[in-house]
Amino acid sequence: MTRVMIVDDSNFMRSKLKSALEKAGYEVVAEASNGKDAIDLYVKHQPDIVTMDIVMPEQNGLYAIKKIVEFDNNARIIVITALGHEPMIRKALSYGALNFIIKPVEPEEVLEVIDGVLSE
Amino acid sequence: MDPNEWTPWLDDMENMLETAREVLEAIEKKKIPQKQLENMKNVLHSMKGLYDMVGMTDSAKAVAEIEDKVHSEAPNLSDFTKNAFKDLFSKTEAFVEFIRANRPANTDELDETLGLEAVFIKSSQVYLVEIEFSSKKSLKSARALAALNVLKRIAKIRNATPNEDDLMLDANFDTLRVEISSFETMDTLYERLQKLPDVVSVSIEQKETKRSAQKGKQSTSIKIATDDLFTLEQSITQLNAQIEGLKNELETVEGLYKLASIERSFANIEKDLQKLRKVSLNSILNQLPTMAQRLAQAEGKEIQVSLQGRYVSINRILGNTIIDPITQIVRNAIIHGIEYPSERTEKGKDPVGHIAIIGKAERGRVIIEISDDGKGIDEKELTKIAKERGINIKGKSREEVLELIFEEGLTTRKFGKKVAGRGIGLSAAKEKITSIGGTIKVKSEKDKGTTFILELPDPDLLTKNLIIKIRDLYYAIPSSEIEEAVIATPSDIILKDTRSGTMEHNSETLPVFVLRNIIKRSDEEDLQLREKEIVLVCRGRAHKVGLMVDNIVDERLLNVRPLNPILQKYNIFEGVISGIEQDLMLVVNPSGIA
Repeated sequence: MTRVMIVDDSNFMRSKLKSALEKAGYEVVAEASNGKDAIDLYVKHQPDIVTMDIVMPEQNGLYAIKKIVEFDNNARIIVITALGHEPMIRKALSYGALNFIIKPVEPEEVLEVIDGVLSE
Repeated sequence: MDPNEWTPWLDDMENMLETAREVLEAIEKKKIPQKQLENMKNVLHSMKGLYDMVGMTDSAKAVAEIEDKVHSEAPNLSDFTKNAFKDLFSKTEAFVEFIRANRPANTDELDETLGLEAVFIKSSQVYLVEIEFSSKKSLKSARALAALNVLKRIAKIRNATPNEDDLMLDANFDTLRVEISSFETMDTLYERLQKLPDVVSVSIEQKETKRSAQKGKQSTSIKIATDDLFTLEQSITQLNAQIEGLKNELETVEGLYKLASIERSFANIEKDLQKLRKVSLNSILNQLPTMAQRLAQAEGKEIQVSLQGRYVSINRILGNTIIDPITQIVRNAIIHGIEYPSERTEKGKDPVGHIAIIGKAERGRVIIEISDDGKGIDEKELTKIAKERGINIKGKSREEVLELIFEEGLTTRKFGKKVAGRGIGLSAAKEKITSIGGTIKVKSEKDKGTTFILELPDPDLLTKNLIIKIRDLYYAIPSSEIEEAVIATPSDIILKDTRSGTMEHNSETLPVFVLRNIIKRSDEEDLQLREKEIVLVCRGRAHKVGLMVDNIVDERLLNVRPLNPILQKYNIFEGVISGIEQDLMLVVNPSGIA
């Protein structure tokens, strides 16, 4: 089963993503609400894929992406963020995030993008 | 890595190469025996491992690609694969020699040293991928970057327009064009790209690699800052001058003969450099037809755009300057010139409007004509507006009246519907063209259409100039003459009189000249040194000189024309240019002051 880690500071987003992913047959192995935890949990669980919010307290998503990719060059990270953060998205992509999704999130889009990233 | 650590690695490589030689012999024959095929697989496998072991992941990847290829094609290997293997062998052989001789401690750049990437590119197929996005402008660049990420994992990206750097800075584009090379079939890639959010269309086309045509002449492109080219050109010009000087001192025929051949080489280098600085009109305007079609569609009009003289080459910087004006003119033609299909049919015209862009090089000038077969500029309307705005047009010729469309804000929406909006941007377009020493003219006939004629200066006459301000007037100084601009305080400068003095700079004593008192426009001389003085340190004739200026405004690429003969006796100026701030600006000659 594909193991996913969800990083988002909003409880609501995490539970929404979690239920969508679990319905589709993914296993959510970890959840983090800030960049710092995201890095620690990634190292601990080494999930197959990460969904990452960028704007978060305690070390933002950009920093986390950078650190995670440093730790695991093959990390698969998908950015999930709101419109208006385009420069940050581009930065995230340059740090090694593979794709991105714009909030509000449609479950189908999430699954499609995740499938795409996994199939490569 | 410790030099001794290389020894076992080299031994393994040697063994592997030994087997590879047998395989190579077999490859030369038509059919590769099963045993050698197995050897080939083993060679590739251990080679991949050996490269991986010393951290050469890119090279290992390239070997893996060839390995995959062998596995999927066996037993009938394609020529591609055979050649790739041969290339890999000779590169590895040379590389092993290199390691044996150098035993480098730092393994960071070894991938590049081996240069296996070339094996990969050479033996794979080249495709042109075009992806169109429907996203908002602000998101487009990010979408394109994500698409590049997808491409990267299945293929090697040879180049992309816009490229990654531009995308990082949020580029303006309609279609992402990427040239890739890959071993993979494109079906999966096509599917993957189509599934990406906001992707409207994907096209993948196999590109002819033209290997036979350019045998042994693989050209690789690198980016060079234009500034570096200028510097290089300057050095060559200087060398040429030195050779000229040498000529007088050389006496033997043989010496002169040798000198002549050196001169020839320099001439060639100069020519090559000029070529580097140029781009074709085609590469500048290749996005234009797509943009035009899209705009026409949005306007409910039908158009056809033709581009002639694609290969007229122009200076790269000049090229960048003219993109906007040309785009503006084409936009105007679509929005205001070309009529709606029904209107055109009524007039007995082809319902499809035509826009032609013609580029040509004539007498050292590049001329670009942009014409449409639309309704033409309404002169009466233009005259009426001019009158309303209090512009005197009495005695003005027809042509001069038409020129009014370049006046800023003359033809905005407030004034009459027929010419509405024609003026938006045309004044800006003219300003841009004028700033590089070009001219823009317009011809128009009612119901026949409008033609804009851009005349651009000989690109090679353009030079970089610093625009400076002295007592409310603008002047230019050739950038090539300036070494640096420094801010000096009164304590750095000792004035001998109101016009000149000396300045301490980098433990050197330079003569300085107070330009505001030398280029004098009134009898009052400014005797007071300011708190902060801007001093341009210039090369000068024999030694450096400092020029004190009031302000630095801008740096521009300009066409310097010679002075009127009457003025030529004033050494302080060496030419004249037309500018934005002022119709005419004098070009200061630093050597002439000293």
